[in-house]
Amino acid sequence: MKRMIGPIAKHWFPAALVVLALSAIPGYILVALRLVGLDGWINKWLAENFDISYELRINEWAALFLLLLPIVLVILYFLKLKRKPLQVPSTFLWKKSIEDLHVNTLFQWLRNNVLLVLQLCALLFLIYSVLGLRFHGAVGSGKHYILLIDNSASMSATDVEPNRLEWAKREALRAIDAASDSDVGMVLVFNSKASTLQTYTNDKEKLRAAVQSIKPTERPTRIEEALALAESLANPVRSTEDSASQPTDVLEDQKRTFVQTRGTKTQVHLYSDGRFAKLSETTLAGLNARLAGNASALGNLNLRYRMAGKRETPGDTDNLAIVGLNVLRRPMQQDKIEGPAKTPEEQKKREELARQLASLQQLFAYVRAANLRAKEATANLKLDVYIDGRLAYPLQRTVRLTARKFTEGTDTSDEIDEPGEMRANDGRFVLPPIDPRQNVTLHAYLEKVGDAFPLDDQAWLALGTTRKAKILIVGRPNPVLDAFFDQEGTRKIADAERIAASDLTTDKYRKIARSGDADLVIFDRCAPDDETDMPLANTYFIDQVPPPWRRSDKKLKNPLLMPSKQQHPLLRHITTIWDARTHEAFVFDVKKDLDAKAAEQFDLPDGDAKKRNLPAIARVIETSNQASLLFTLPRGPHSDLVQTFALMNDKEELVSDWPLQTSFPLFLRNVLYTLGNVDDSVRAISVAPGEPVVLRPEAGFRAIDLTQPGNKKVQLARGERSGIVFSDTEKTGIYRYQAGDKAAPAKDGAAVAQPVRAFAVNLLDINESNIEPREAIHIGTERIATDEEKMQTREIWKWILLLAVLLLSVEWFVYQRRIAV
Amino acid sequence: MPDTATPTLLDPQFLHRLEQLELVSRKIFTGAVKGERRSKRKGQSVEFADYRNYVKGDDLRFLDWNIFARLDRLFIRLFQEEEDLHFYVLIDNSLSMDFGSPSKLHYARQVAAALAFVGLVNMDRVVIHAFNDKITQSLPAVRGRKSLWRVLDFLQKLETAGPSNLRESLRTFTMKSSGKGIVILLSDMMDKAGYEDALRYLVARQFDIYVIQILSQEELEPGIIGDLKLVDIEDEDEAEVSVSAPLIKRYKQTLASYQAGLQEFCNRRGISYLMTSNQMPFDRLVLTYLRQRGLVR
Repeated sequence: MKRMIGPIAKHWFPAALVVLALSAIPGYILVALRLVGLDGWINKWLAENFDISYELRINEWAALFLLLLPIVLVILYFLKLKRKPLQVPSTFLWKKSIEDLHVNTLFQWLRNNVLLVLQLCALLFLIYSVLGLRFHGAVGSGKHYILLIDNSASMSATDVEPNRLEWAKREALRAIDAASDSDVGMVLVFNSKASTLQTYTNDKEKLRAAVQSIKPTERPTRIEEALALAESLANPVRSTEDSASQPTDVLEDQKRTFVQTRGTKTQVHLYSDGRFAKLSETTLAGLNARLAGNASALGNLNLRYRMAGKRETPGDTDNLAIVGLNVLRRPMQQDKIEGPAKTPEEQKKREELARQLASLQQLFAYVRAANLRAKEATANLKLDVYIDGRLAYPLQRTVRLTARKFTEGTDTSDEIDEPGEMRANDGRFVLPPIDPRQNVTLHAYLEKVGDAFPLDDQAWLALGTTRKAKILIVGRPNPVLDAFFDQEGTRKIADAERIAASDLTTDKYRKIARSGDADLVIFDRCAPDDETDMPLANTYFIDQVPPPWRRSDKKLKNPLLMPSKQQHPLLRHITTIWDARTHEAFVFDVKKDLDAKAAEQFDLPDGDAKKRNLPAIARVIETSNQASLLFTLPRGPHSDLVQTFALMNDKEELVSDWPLQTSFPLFLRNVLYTLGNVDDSVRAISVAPGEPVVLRPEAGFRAIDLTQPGNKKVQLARGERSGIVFSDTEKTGIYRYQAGDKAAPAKDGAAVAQPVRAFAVNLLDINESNIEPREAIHIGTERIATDEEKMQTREIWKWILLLAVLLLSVEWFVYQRRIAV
Repeated sequence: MPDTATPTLLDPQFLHRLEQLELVSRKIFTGAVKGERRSKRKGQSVEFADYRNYVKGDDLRFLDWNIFARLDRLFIRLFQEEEDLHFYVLIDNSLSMDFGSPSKLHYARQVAAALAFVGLVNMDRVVIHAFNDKITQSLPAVRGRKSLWRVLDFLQKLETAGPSNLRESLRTFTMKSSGKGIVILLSDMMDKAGYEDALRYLVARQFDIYVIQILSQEELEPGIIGDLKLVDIEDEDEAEVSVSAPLIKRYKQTLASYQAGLQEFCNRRGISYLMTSNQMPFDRLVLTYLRQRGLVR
């Protein structure tokens, strides 16, 4: 050992100097080549042979100075420093002290020289750091990169530790680390919606913080919006420089060359399990890349898909899911009362029973469950029925789910993937007779299945109670409208109040109009004089137009009624109105029929603060010559429905035969449901997590108290709108709400308990429940397989510089400790 | 660091202190016989000290025949030796003594003056020699209080000069000096050739030796820093040092071990050794430390 150390100790210094000199040579050559302008050639050669390139980070003169520094240092070192002489009484003790330290000569020798070596090393590192060396990977350096992270419900699956989202975040952080400092990155997160967490920046800390802030959601997955967001920068389609915006009337000598925008090549790192619905051609056609004329839907996006989750055996995922929950209701069968009554008492009893039964409803709940395991599964399916918040009927059944059928294909189109199902009747539960006025919620769940994705093992359903609409009918008596609103069926869902046209200028009308108490105001052959008198509600104008328009005198004789849009909610259930006729209708022109005073506001030049724009007319019914007979005009949050023909004349004679057709009551019903905000118990609201829900408090209430799952309570104010859009539906479960206005004192001094209504937020999405990650995703015609770790250019100069600084501090430390030079 | 503003020995403050010392020394010597000093050694005098067994070679004149007659055993009578005591003060005036504030030489002069004063008061023969590499100046033996002014004058005129050579100087001293007595060596003892031989010369002459090593504060606590070329003031010897905390520490260790070595050397040979800094008030040194060491009683 000693024999080995000896020569090393003796010769290490010259050896170190030689090594340093040799390692300095490449750096000197590179800098020299850069100084003479041959760096392009050498960079190419380096990139081809060693996957390295360099770029001088300081100017040439500074580089030259830096190159000379080591030489100067060596010269200075050998010249030694001139020391300040100082007289002392005796050098005797000093010499003795130094001698003591000289006892270990190797140590002393090392001490003598280590500083030079350290300094030279530091300088060398400095030279290499300013060379700006970077390693090249297989993939070219993406100056822009986007981290696209899926945080939908299925990303909470725990098949990778701790879950898929955490894995994705970890990988995304790695991608940030791998990016060079000049690269700019963006962080997008998507579920059913996409949002930008961090816009383009090269501040890695910001990007990291954005990634760290991602929280799991229970939402389903839609990638379209995320792609559109990602590519909005990469594939710009419109630009003032675009050839498409070339003006036509330009003088010959003022013509400019317009070029197609080029966009930015962008690397997109997609971290997802790939479980989103296949993108339709329509969606793809809307992407800028297609619009810009690229064959590929992605255009400049260089999409790299990183599969989150484990895919051990294709077609076998440890998950059972409830993918459907529905309720059908039927009035109670009265067949139990058989035969004629024998006595009047019995008759009385039977009538009583019939009345009771009539008020009850028979409910059938249908639960659909799916099995994503490759083998048959048995599960305990439970259905809890809650009435007014209390568990009334716990129902349960052991169900058997067939095995999942799975055949792998090359494309999603030829892939067969059919999750296993229950037998047809296994999911059907007959509920005991329930009073529909009660607040009924259902909770279906698979008990203790212990799968990898517990979120979809349950579903909820709320059977809402009817919300009554408040209707105000203004005008002369109209038997047609009365016939509809006075019938029993309508009275259950709407309260109609009538006032005369003469009341329009009185407080009686204004009070209702301005409070927003009414859901729908029907103006029958009359209209408020002024725009300010328009009610804070939806309106239905019959043979009249809302201010600031004026009914024109231009007439259409015997127009033919034709539906403009068959799917319009106002025309729901209406198969035909061709057979309806009307005597005459007025012609409406949104521009010409404007009030003279209001017309000025519409005519103002663009950019004026008072300028009003003409509303877009949504036609519902038109005639053959395309004049509108029935249309809606938007007015803030409300809609004004205008019917350009009357139903009756002043003598209470029908002037149209539409009221005689079956389509008319259906139409009025649609008006009531659509514009009157009727919320009836037939519909059970169930939305996907994150979807907004429109909640309508009872007329007269300005706020509702809402209880989220987990008993979190919020109060939502209605403001000027008729409904409240509630979008914090992140958690699955039952949301209960009740009209309540703490600010306003209860009328007549007594608070009337408002019905508690509810809606459910459910995943119920087989795409989310199928948590098996896809190995490849398809965007248009492109198949993008999951991708291994990518090599990026890594700038290493900072690390070299750091080493240099470290060495300098070591050198300083040694200097501080040394005894003599 | 030559101290340009060396205070004179004759300044009133110093004289005042000497007066104090005189009182103190008087107090010490109250009742003692003037002109006599009891030697530690036994020898020839009229004052009986002790008996001891006769051994071969002893002077038969000192046999106590009376005891022989009574006990039939041979005993030698020992007498307290009385001397005409010499009080030698050796002051190192080499260049290295010209350091510190006050300079080491000045401090040595003050100590020498104080001790000489005590000697004069006790009617001893006070001899002062100054030396560097040889004995440069000497004050012939003086006696009595009236000679104080000569002593002070001599000390006042001492200047630093030349390199030191302790061995050579002390050899010359031992050869020149006739009587036995007390030798007080005032030096920084920083001799590259070593102090051992020099002290051995003194020991050989059976002097009562007191070594007072005077070091300046700068030597005890060097306040220097940086890359320096240290130049020895005596022989122009150079030492290049980069002063750092570890070096200072090492220096102090070396100094401590050097002092320890000197101390041990002295102890083994019955030499009283005392190290003092030029910062210590000399009267305190004389009255406290030298009393403890037995130089003054």
